[in-house]
Amino acid sequence: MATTIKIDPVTRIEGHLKIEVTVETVNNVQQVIDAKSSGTMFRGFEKILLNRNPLDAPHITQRICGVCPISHGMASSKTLEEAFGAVPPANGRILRNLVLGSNFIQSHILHFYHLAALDYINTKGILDMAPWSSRYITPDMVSGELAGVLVGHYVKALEMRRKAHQMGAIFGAKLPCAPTLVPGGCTETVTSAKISDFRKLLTDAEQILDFINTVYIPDVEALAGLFPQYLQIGRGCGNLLAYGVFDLDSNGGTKLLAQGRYTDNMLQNLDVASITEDVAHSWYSSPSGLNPGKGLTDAAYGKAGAYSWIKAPRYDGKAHEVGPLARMWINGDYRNGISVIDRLAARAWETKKVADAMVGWLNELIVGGSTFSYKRTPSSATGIGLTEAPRGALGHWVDITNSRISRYQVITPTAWNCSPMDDSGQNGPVEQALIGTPVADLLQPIEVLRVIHSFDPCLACSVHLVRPDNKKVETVIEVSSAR
Amino acid sequence: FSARAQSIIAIGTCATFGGIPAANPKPTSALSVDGALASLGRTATVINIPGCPAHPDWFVGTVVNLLAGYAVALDGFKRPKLYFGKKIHDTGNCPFKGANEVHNLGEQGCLKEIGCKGPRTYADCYSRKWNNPGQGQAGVNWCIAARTPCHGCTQPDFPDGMTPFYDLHDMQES
Ligand code: SF4
Repeated sequence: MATTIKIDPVTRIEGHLKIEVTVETVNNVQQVIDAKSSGTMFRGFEKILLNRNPLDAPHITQRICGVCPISHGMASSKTLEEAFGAVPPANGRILRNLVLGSNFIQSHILHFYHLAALDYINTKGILDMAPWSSRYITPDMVSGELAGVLVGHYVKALEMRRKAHQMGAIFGAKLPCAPTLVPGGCTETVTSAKISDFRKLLTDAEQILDFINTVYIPDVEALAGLFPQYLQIGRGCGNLLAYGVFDLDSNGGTKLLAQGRYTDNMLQNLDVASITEDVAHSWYSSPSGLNPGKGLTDAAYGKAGAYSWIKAPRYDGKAHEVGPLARMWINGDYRNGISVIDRLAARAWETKKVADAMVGWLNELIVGGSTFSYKRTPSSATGIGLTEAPRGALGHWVDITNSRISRYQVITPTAWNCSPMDDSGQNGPVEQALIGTPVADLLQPIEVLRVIHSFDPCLACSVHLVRPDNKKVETVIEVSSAR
Repeated sequence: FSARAQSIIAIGTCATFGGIPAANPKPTSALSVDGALASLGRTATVINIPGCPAHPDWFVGTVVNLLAGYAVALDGFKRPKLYFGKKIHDTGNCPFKGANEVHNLGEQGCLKEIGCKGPRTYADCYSRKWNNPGQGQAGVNWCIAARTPCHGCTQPDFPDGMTPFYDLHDMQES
């Protein structure tokens, strides 16, 4: 007999995600045999951008997500740079990398301590107070002294995120949503005082780099040691994809984290022309299988067979996982495996790689040098802007007609990861990762949450209204027995 | 919402005025908290803390004032006057008032000519600034000091009344 578990909404993520898993005992192991991932909110940013001045797009798209606004600002600026023929001067490129790097550090620390870690800690008797109180208490959870230490780090991590935001604001003006990011570079200037303020937050004792090296990485390694079974859980499709990020030269030919894909166990080059979005199981009436350069977003809630506001992006028709593990794998920095723990570990090591690189970038800045190169908005043009958000590959596509936006499409990392089935019936990466996951206690499906959280889903960005009939405001585990 | 709630505090420009989700062509018919309450026929005291994002001080300060029993004076858009009582461009506020008016984005000075919305925007970012290092300290930066015009993000007509954000008609290509 199969049991259906609905988690709606999944909490400790950004946005509205519903997960439905069917659990059955196969070969004496109670496990997930089917999974459905649904984005339950539609926002329509692509429609809002139509007919606007293209220069407004980097600022409007940053509002897609308060956690990774800088990635949207970057993708949008790069898209317009391609359309305008603008190339940022070295200073401008580096300033944007520094603001984006600050946002990566902030988001990765947020993910581990504030979203994922509580799946592994029994806080009973330590902090019986929201948001620390464990909703599920399972026998494998860390308790006692170590749990107390980790909860202490949860609080410390809040301070580190504040500092990462402060760092980003030095060149971004404010965070979240930095107004200095523009096509052609950055409007902020380089002074030795700004460089020194930035460096202090990054490298002084007990500041950000110290925290990454002496708290974050050791905590992730400790957890990895305590939960080795999660090196075998949550593999998913096994295909990885990265657009690459942190340009190290003016044309973006070299990047700190390279572009590429790992498909069918082989490293391969990436060609954006091979990206399509299926909508057979998504609430859209626009045609299926379109490349985002020709993409359309026409909502059709209630469409037969559909169960999500997320489209299903595919490369050569295949599902691909995106995120820190994909980037670190493709770049050759981390190839231990693909699993729940590998995702947490690759994310932590990537935080260090980016923070270390930022120290070097500060040295490359030229005080007083130009940070911005202006090109006028053409009357008609197209552009593609590829970058990475902390949680994976992010692309923006624009068409400009009569100097106005005539098409704007965004494919977010969570669309890749949390996508529903495609037209051929192939599940999305998170769905595939859930299938086969053992579930010990039907009333406390913690294993399911650990798999979902390892991807760092952000639904705010991947579906671009909460249904008025969707009254649930906290995690509700509906356990209903199907046949 | 609880009938015992003394006031409802809406945080951020989406919750207070609709913001970007409610921008034209309003694809989801998104409403502000005030608008949603009205559409449900409910009445409640709403305090609006706009901003995209809202400054944490604006929210915490309002809550502390309420907890301490002080009346929080509101403007016509239900914003606490304490934080939204003056325009950025008012005399004594923006430090660039009266400075040279620049015509290029990325130059320091008064940004009026390139589309600054400070003359229409009520907020105290010029002194509070953003991403404060600690209690009582000013933030590390703010939009106009970073050479980018105010986008008017605390106003009820953000973004439609504030776009295009830039007016670069005089700017030379580089
Ligand atoms: S920069 Fe903006 S707010 Fe400041 S004086 Fe000029 S127009 Fe007014």
